[in-house]
This record gives sequence, structure tokens and C-alpha cells, in this order.
Amino acid sequence: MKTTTAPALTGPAARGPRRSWKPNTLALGWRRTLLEARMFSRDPSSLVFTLFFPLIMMGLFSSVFGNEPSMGDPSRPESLLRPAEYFLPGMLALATILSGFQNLSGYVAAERFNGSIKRLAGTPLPSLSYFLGKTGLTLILILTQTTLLLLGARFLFGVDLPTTAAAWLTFAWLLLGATAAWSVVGIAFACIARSTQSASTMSAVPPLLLAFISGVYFPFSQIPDWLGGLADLTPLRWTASGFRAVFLPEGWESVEPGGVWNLGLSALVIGLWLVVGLIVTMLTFRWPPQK
Amino acid sequence: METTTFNPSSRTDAARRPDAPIRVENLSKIYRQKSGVLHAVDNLNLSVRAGETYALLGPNGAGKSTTIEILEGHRKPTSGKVTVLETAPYKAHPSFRARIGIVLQEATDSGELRVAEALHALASYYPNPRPVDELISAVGLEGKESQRISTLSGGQRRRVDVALGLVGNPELLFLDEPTTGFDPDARRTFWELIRSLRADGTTIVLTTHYLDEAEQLADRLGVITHGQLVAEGTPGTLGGAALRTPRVSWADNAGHHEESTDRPAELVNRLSAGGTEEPLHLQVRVPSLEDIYLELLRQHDLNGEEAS
Repeated sequence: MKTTTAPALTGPAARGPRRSWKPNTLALGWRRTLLEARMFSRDPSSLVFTLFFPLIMMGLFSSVFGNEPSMGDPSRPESLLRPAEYFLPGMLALATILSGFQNLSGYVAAERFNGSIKRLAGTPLPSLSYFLGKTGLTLILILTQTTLLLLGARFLFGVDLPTTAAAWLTFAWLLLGATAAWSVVGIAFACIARSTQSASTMSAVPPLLLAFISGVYFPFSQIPDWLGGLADLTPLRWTASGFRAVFLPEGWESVEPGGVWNLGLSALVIGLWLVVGLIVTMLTFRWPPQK
Repeated sequence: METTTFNPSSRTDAARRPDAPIRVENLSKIYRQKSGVLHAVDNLNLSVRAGETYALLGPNGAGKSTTIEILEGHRKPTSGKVTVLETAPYKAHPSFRARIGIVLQEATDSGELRVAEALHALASYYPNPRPVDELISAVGLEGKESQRISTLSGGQRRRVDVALGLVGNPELLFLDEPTTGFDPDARRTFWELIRSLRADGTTIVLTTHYLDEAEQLADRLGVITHGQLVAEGTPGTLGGAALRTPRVSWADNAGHHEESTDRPAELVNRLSAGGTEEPLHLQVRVPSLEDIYLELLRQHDLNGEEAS
């Protein structure tokens, strides 16, 4: 009286050699990158609040403030900048914390608690391939955001972009360094989180608050000293000022604290966060997560 | 309906074979928590033979999942010797992971992926994966290949979990409460799948709260409580003869009675005055596996209280 059909499956005969076998960490890292990108692209909230957010903010600022030179010291009209010119460095800096911190803290925390990492840890996939996939996705995100912002600024708002190789080199190390620092801090944050809910809520808070006090949405000189002092301790403020050094015309450094761009301090603060984040991640990440 | 046959002579042979895929000696796992020291697994001994289906039973918090996770290499034993496929599983080489399959107890991951995508992705991590389309029909998900996992029903989602555990074509399969949330029909289909894997020579370790499932699938059962293996046997022998004594129950003016006896017919004959009277609510019951299991747990808890 059997009503179900016995499913046929290939048996142990199909099992081939196994002793010498080793997974290809790099090839699997690439596969993970493609899969991560596919999963990300199917998450509407991530697309809006992580990938396109800086672009949306840039559009909003330009709509609110118009496209006339209005930013800066009104007594020196020749130095005034249009909002798109002024906000471009801040939006690029915002992209580093969104692609690095917000993306990774949210997803890694979710994957710690929903069984994703546990499932992967039960397969031959090396944990390094998992991280390569995360790195790949983060690079795709930051490069996409940067490209869209630069293209949008250039062709929609007519912003003049730097023409020297030195400026672009500064831009590149700041961009990659800040994204890397935020990435490891984001993973460490996800490893310390007690639940998915707290992690996904909390991961939106640092970008929101830091963007306000780091000179991303307002000129840094308008931030009260004690808040600015707080921002001085985080990479976002130094990424934003570093990007202003790259994109704003000469003379604007007079608005910065001490009247200089101070790229050395940018490198120092970003580097410190990168190292500390890496150490905390290595100490707290478990493959698979332990209860 | 019963299809699992069981051959005692091959079992004895299997017991003599030294290549038991799972051997556990004096395993302990201790968690140090704020509230004190928890002995999740307490000096456990266990061995699973090649090709057999072994069911671990026990109440929640008894140490089943911890034991399984140690066997899978997901947790480090505090002490004791654990050998799985001739390997110490904790932090073992990826080639060890290529030989085992794990069906997680509960997972809500990969919701954004389509069924076939998730299977292809996981298959690419293994040296000899099963063909994905074959797997999809084996778990009864034909027609759902291109559906997002997040849109599946609970039972369908569970079948994806089972398929994901099988995709690497494992020699040894761990199933942690595999049929939770299945409807009766889906459970029977699933049992057929497990039997076909067993027929192929796959060694299977499963935990379940359904005693009928254990009875249907398992060659041997082990009962864990308070981190210890308190009983082990086949579905027909677990608990020993004493727990299998038939029970006769009936009622009369004095109330409800129940008596255990090896000679139930004789008792019924006496109660019915040689078949001339009908005792009220007369029942003769042979204890089910569930009765035996619950009695084992009760006895163990009593012993534990006496000891402490």
C-alpha cells in the first residue's frame, strides 16, 4: 500500500577520489563574490539605503540648494562653490561607511544568526573564500557608488573633476583605506551583536550620526567643538576632509581646523581603525558561530 | 507500509568491523556560564556502524544537538575521543567536510536565492556533488526550481534544507530534527528518501522528537538525557524486556486499575470470569516505543534524584 515513489539517488559508487582533494580558495572566492552580488541586488532595502543612498542625497542637496554658487564665504563671491561641487567629497566619504560598515555589519550579523555561516561552515568552503566574497561585494559596491557619484557630478551637475594623477592617487588610497577600515569594523560589530534585530538596527546608527558630525552634510567648521572632537576620532571625518583636499579648489583648506588639509592625520586615523578592526574581527569571528 | 527490514546477522558483522564511521569515547562538553558549570555532554560513549541509521532521542536540552555538533566538527570537545570517518572532526581538513552532509535544525538563510541557484552554489563547493535536478526531484520540489526560497512554505523550505545537506553526496549524513513542520504525506515521502540513501550505503545519524519516525527509520536508537546515553538498542529491544511487559487496564466500582503482566490472557480470563463477564474499559496494551522512551526518562530522572 505504498503510495509514495522511492526517490532514486546516485549512491556511493559515484563518490570519487577524496583524499588528495583540496578546495580552490580563490576560485570559490570569486564564485562567492558573484553570489553575494546577486543576493545584494535582490534586496531592495540594501539597494536604496546602501548602494544608491549617496546618489539620492546628492540629488536632494542639489534640489534643495539649487545649482548656483552659494556655498562658502559670501564676502568672497569668486570662491563660492555650487552645492554639487561642495557636497561631492562628503557623499563619496559617505559611500565608504555605507559600503564598508553598513553593508557588512548588517549582512554578517544576519548570516551569523540565520544559519548561513553555519551551513557554509558545514561544507568544504574555506572561510577565506567567504571573506573574499565579502571583499568582492564590498569592492563592487564602493566602485559602483564612486563611479555613479563621479559621473553624476560631472555630467548632471557639471562639476570639474581633478586632472592630476597625484590627486587621483590620493583619492584612491583614501577610498580603499576607508572602505577597508569600515569593513573590518563592520564585521567586528556584527560578531559582537547579540541578535540580528539589534545588529540591523544598530548598523544604521553609526553612519547616520557620524555623517552629521563629520562634515558630510554640513561644513565641518559649523559643527560644535565637542562634537567635532568626537568626529576627529573616527575615519569618516578624515575621509571627508581628505576628499575635500582632492576635489575642492585651493584656498578651501583655510576653513579646515588649523587651516590645513592634514592628509597625514587622515592616513593615521584610518590606518588605526583598520588595524584595530582587523584584530577585533580575528578575535571574535567564529566559523561557525558558537552559542 | 513497513519496508525497513533488518537483518540481525549483518548487524553482528558490522559491530565487529573496526571501521565504524563514528566512534565516541568518554566525550564531555562543559560550558562555563554565569549561572555555573553546565555539563552539556557528560562522559558519553557511542559508536555508529557503517551503513546504519542511528537515531538520537532525548528531551530538549539533553545534549543531542551538542553531541551532533561535536561530531560535525562545529564544536570542540572538552574531553574525550571523537573519531568521525577516521578523523578528529574539530577543525578538520575540508576533505572531511566533503564526505559529510548536514541538515541544520533551523535555518532561514539564502531567502533571496532561487531553489536551483542555492543548490548549484553549494554544489560548487564539493568535489563530487549530486546532480541538482536529480536532487530536486528526490525531495519533491519539481516545478519550484526557479522560485525564491523566501516564498516557499515551511515544509518546502525544509525540503530545500534536506537537499542542501545531500548536495555534496555524503557518506555520512547528519539530520537534526529533519521533518519538523512536515505534513504526514511529506514525512512519508521523506522517509522513503532516507531509506533509499540507507540502501545506497549512506550512514545516517538523526535526531528526532517523533518516536514513530525513529521506529520507522532507525536501525538503532540511543536515548540521551542530562548529557548521558542512558539506553541503546534496536526499535524492538530498546529498554529491555521489563519495559515491554503488556499492560492490562480495566475499571470497576472501585475505580480504574492497571496491571503489568507477562500473561495478559490469563488476567483477562480471570477478570472476565472465564469470558462470561465484560469488565468495563478493558484494554490490553503492549507498550509503544514512546511509552518505553518516556519510562526510560522517568526512571533515569528518579535515579538522578536518589543519587543527589
